[in-house]
Amino acid sequence: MEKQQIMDRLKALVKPHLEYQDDEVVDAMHGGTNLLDELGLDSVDLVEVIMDIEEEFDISIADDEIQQVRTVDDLVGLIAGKK
Amino acid sequence: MNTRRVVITGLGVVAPNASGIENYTKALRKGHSGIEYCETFKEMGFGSHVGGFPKLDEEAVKAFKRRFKLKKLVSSGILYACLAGVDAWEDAGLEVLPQDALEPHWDTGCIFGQGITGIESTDIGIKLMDAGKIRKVSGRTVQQSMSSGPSAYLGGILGLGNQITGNSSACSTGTEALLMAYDRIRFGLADRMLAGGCDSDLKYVTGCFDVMRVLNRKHNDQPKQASRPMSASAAGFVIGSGAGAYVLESLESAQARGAKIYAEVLGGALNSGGQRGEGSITSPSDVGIVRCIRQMMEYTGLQAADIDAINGHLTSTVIGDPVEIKSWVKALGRSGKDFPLINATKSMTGHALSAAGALECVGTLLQMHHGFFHPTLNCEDLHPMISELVDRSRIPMETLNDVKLHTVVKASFGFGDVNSCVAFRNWNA
Repeated sequence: MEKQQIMDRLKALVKPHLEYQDDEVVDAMHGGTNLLDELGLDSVDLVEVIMDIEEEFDISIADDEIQQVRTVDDLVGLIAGKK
Repeated sequence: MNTRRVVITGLGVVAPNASGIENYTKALRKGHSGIEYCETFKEMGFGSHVGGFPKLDEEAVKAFKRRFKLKKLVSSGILYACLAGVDAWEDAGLEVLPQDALEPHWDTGCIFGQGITGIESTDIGIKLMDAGKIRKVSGRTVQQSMSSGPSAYLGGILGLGNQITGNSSACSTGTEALLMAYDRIRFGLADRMLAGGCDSDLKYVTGCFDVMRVLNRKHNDQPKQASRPMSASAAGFVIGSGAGAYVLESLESAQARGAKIYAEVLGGALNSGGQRGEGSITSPSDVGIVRCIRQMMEYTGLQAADIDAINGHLTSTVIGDPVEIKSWVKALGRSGKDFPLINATKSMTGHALSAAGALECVGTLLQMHHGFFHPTLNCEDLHPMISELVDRSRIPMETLNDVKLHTVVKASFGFGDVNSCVAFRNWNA
């Protein structure tokens, strides 16, 4: 699967979890965007995002893989590696 | 042992008849009822179709949630607690600690009680899991379901680093929280405490009360007349929800920072009738109530003659209200025209369960501060047992303005045969 395809689906998936961020923040999301610092996700949100990713892409992500995730690129890489 | 004096420096409220202390003061002074017809109760087949629930401005709530990043908050009780708690904090002239502060307020804690605020979150979680949708259950379910939810949320919002906990004693919760916070400061374990009580909008719990036949089902067409404390035609209580909050502080701390002081907490008593004698899990023992009031007087050194007014528990139940009045008369040895002024806030708010004591403590303190005594609605036809004991003039049906209330006592009694009684001394009268 193309990384851009993954990125587009990821943006749509992450958006509902960003209750207090403006649309511009989501639209400006890029590979280097830090999930916690820039998108305001906390650890609980991240787990929920991961579960949505698993369902959306029909993959399974282990707990120790979640702990390595810091940026959007980390998520994209994780997904790409399993598709 | 030397103990410290404790004062109230901040108040906050989300009540069925008004939210915010300015609006609540006006509503109490006007005798404004927040009780309304509830179509949902009728649809669910309940006998009682009335309730008192806070009406909040949606945009203001969104802005509040955004300010404190309250994500996926489904518990109405926790929302009310946060709104009231932050209001009380800011009313006390205190600033909210930024999230990136390195240390919390170590000397400030929170005792914020609740009854059933976890139900909304638990309900959603159970339904999803039973439908096989575990992965859709929010990761924020636990912190909203747990009993300490309100206190945990407030502790985080305000950066509090002393004891953070939630008490729960049914309808006595808010008053009990105040006394527990008072003790913590009194014994030097904290300088300041945020305390209060809250409860959620509870349609399922309403149903549970409804089947006990304790809710009023005779005034479904006249909601504003449904809550009738001390009335001969009281037909059960009216369910409600909301939150009340208070900032308690040591006198030294309050004076050091030039805080406004509403009143001094003279002390109080907590006890139970043990569900012995006339008491049961749902109905208080008059022996327990009298003992609680007398203990309050013993602990505070108050004489019966010192008490200017009482804010009663007074729920609008057929038996409970006369028993309560009889208990006050016995405990104080005052009756007829000599009885203190007494009012029942529940006539305007309904019974907000674990928020009730808190709403009423806040209301009591506001009346003392502003020099008025709010009316008790719907008690034109006083219960004959009450009429025999207390002169009509002591249960005003119109607001008394320009009254100096030096010492006021507030009591709450809850399921479990539990009692709480607190005495306030006006700082400014």
